[in-house]
Amino acid sequence: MGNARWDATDWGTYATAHVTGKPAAAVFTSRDLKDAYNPAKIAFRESRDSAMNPLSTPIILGSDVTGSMGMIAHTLMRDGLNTLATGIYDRKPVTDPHIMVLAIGDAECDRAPLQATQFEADITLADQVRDLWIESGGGGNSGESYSAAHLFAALKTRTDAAEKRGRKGYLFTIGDEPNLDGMRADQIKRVFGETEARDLSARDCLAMAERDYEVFHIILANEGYARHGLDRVLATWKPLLPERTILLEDVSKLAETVISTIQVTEGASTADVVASWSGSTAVVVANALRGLPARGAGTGLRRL
Amino acid sequence: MTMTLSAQEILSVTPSDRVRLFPGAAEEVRRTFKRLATRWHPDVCADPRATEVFAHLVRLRDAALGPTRPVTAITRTLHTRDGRALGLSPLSIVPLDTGEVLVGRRSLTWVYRADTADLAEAGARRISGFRFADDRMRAQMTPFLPTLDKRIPLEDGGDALVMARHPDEVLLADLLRVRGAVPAEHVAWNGSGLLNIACWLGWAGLVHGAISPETVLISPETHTVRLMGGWGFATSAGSRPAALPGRTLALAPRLSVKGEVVDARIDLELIRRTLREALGDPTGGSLLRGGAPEPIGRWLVMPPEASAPADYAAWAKVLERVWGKRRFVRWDLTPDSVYA
Repeated sequence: MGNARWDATDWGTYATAHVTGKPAAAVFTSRDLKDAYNPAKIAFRESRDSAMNPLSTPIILGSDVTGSMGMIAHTLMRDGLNTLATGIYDRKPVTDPHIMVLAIGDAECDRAPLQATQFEADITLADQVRDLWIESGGGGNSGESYSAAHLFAALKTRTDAAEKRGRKGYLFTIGDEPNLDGMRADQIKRVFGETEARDLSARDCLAMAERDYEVFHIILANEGYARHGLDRVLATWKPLLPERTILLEDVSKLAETVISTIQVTEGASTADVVASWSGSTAVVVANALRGLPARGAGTGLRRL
Repeated sequence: MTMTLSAQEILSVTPSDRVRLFPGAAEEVRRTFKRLATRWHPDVCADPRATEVFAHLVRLRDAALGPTRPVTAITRTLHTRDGRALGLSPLSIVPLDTGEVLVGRRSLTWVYRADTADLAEAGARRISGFRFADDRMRAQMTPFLPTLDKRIPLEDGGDALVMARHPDEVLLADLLRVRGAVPAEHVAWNGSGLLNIACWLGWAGLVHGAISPETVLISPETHTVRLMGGWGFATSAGSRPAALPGRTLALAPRLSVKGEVVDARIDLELIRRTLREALGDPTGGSLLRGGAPEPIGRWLVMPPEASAPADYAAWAKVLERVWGKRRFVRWDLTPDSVYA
């Protein structure tokens, strides 16, 4: 998938018809998990080079959809996807973005702990995101199955970026809760349709994803669980992603934060990236990027 | 009579004295070798020195069969700090994060740039400080580890470490570059060899940190695997290395973070990556979809166990599940086919 290009005009037309001024319930109308997005029914998702996108870069946005977190998907649909795609085209931190959206739930109690769109490079993605089931589940177990997104990236994606060029893609999980510690074998079998599995810790799942993806987690610091339990959220994420756990104060700046994170990781100076935004966006992005290390020149030997 | 010789008696035979073991013409040499290989191959021989003996038999046989065809190679001149110019004709030159490795007919020369000379020093110190629980462990492990023959300070501030290479060995990176992917049944013993070394590293409390096709020599003939390079990166488990190759940091980016320390799982992850590369699928994308026998693919894609012995035990089970009882599968691949 991903044979076309994102076009802001297409987006404008699409948003007017399906998104603008509509509440989340009218945008997301699915009431069940569809086979097309069910990881157990997906062999793998591919991000392949094409004439339109000769140097594809896979970018995965794993959005928590438990409880009130359906707002993340809604934010992406309001303008987030458009800002992300056009921002990457304009700023070019990476080439030819192929974007996939994951809907993350809770493998302990949800019927749809994970859903996955295709990798897409054009407006087709919007239809698929709208087609995801915003289950709004999650239990009172103080955590969500963000590790499922890591495992999906590791087990069920194939990318030309990694296979042909040895380049990593980007994987962002986004949410408000602590991370449940990995996935049990029975959950892996159920969610991913695997015939064999063993228990995997959160660190295991992350390490697998990191083979082919630069992995980040964005905590919505002023929303839901994190608003009152940020320490408990950080306690699960900081040990996993010490410099790659991002605190985002304003969910409406999600796309700008993702773009900026990619820019800095690809070697841009944080100060320059922050300065490229204006007004409140610059402030939110500056706070989000605090502590994020630049990759630096080259990919060879590194002094520690 | 040759069949009754002890390990020590065989090892005491020098290449110039090879006729004691391998008399006669080429055909007879090959027949004798086959008989001895049946007796001494490490897969069937319980003697702790079996690997060493088998490798020595291969060397004696090669010597008895005479020189292989000459190789036209590129040249490299090392300018030493004491003013000499050493002309080398390596069979291949492989670039590394620290400089390059020159593969010679009987040597490996690890050339360190001036800015990585401290890693040459650290590597030389590490190699000379290898420790073993007892003579038995020493005899079992020495064939899989490097011995430093020479250290040559270079005029430009760099350094060169010279180690012996057996003529039957090839650098895994060269093999992959020239011959392409390794068949799964041979990746099997590559994996066993590397995991065996990882078990010793675990016992020694070390993390190597740079296991890759560029640092591993394999012998298609004897199925031995030696971890030759990258020892300058090695450090004690639970401590922070002074430096790491980019390849390692790409697999474990958290090690870039100040204060993070290494554990055995780094080497186990690097071994998985090396074996995936050997199979021609570094990312493992096809391994669960027919790119390798399913249990092998699954082992290579899933994360390591907590310790090398546990990981090796799981690997051994996988091999048995795929191919049954352990046995020697001949590989008709000669170093000449890589380095000619």
